[in-house]
Amino acid sequence: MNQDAIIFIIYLLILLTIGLYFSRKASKSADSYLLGDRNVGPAVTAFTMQSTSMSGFMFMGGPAMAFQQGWYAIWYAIGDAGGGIVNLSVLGKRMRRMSEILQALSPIEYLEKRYESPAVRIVGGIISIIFLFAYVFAQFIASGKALESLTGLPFSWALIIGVSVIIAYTVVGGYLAVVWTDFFQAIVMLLGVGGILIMGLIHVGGLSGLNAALADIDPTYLSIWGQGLEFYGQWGVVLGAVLIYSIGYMGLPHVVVRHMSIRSTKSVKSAILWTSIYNQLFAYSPYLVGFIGIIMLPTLGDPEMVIPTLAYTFFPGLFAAILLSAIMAAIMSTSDSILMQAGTILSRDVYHRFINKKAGHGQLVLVSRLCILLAGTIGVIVAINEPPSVFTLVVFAFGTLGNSFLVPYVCSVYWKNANKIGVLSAMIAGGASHILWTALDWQSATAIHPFLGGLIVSIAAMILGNFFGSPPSDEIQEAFYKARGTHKLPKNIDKNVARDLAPEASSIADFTGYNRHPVKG
Amino acid sequence: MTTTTLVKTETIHYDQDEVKKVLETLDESQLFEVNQLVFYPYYFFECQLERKSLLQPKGGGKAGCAVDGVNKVGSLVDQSPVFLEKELPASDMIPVTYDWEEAKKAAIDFVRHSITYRMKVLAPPKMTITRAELFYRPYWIAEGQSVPPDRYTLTVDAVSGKYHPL
Repeated sequence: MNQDAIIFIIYLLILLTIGLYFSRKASKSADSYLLGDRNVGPAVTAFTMQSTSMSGFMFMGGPAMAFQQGWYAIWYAIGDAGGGIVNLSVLGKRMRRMSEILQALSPIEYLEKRYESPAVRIVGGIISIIFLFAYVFAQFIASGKALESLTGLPFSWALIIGVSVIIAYTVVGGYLAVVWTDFFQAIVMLLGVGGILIMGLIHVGGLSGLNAALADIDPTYLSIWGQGLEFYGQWGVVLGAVLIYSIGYMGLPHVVVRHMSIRSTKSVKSAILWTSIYNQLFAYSPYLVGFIGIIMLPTLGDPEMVIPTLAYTFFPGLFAAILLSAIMAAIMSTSDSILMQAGTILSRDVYHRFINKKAGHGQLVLVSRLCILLAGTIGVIVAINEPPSVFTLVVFAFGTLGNSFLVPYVCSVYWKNANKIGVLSAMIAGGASHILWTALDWQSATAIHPFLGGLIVSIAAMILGNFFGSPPSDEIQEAFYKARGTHKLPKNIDKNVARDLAPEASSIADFTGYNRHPVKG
Repeated sequence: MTTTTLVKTETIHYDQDEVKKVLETLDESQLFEVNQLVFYPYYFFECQLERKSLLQPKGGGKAGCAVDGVNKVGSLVDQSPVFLEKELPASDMIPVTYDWEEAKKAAIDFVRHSITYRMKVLAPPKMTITRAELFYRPYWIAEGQSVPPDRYTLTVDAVSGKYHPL
């Protein structure tokens, strides 16, 4: 075992120690441990969210795109930097209220209840499971590449070890993934990439030197249309590149689930602020490092190895190994969340709801575990035989999920008459068009990015399909009005409303006859 | 004559004057009338968690869960609540809509679900119910006195002081 691999193991042990220390400090009893989240401040919450959502892609996929296309890649960073804010602002409060009224626990169950159709749950469940797995496969490949750099093992062995660590970590328990370790990792990620960026900028003479050197190699690296002006005048491609991460988050089941668990509007505002700060500091850095790679690593074979290679170029072995360990740990914390979400959807939303309604808890756990094991096995086979790039796989999975679910989630709270036929059409047509657009390279023929194409098709399908379905029931229409609100409460009253009292308030209103004047809370 | 029933309830920590004062401080343009008290049913369960691995809390610990007696929505409870027995007017008590067995199943499902999500573990510890009670929690109805459309009504939890619009 080489020195870097030992450092990786030590890093994991440090994470375990941090996780155990904070967990035990907060857990004099099991219930206080479970309720610990209530004491977690908005900054830690925001950093945790970011370290969970930005992982293998930001360390490998993003820099590779920048390495290949130059400044065009910054369109993706712009979307990423603003996506979280757009997501929380558009869906945040309304979806929180609607899910309270419908008493939905999972994002797929939410769609079934809002659109009053088990078919919505089946189609939604199938799409989300398949593409959440594709999303996690990208993390598997990233873990193989990170471990290959760290240990010097061949990619296939590094991949098998990486996936095994992820699966074991997910199945055994998530102590490493408690908020404080995610917070710690977010800081390490920020400092690591920031360190490489600063060292890189010093080497190339700052931003001006960077641009001058890029212009010497190929002036089109400085263009917003891509290297060789590949996307010249193709605003449909540029718009899609910005939109995929700025609005695409609204279509990701494992992201929108957060709207359903927000505790107070006050926390949301602070969390948005911290998320914005973190994103502005972090989101652009990996792409800038990718530009530096064009100058410093002209012979690099695999563009996704820009950050690992520059880490070893600028820093002594020890620091580089710590940084690569942080990448690996970040990949793990993302993977376990997605695997847990996919496993839960399969066991609760599909198996328990449609196949075996009498299934006990033990059977559901078994189904979840088998599902994760199956995902791991398929992931290894796919990655070893024909590994797609992390960037391609993440954009493909992210885009398909976004095109399938963005329109249904937004319409659920903004279009009163949106019905089940409309939403089924939007999910199937949106997802299928993104797959076809990518597989058949319709981008070249139409000059429209697959995400934008899928979005247009999904919106059209929603509108057309809606003509064929029956309007939502009176209960759903009433819920829609309640989620939207009829008039505002005074600001001071509104910001202190206890959202968790919504079910009690609804029953008390029925009991006392006060439900005739719904108020926006 | 008002019919009364002997039930378990909780001590009122926020009386009507206090509720009125706080709300009128938060919204200076509104006067509130706080006269009506309703009692909301909850099933309370205390679960003993058995430690299955070294990574789980030492001694297993206990988790308290209250299940809304009308909507079957669960919530985790920080500390074991202390109840007092009291005769309450039946007309002020919201009736429960399901029985003990359903409540117990909902509580266990809810605690398991919470452990799975918050601790990120697929197999939460084994649970045994060690205490089960039905209790009624007092809620004030605080009615704003402005003219519509500015008028609104809130329900205020008389134990915690938390409120929600009706």
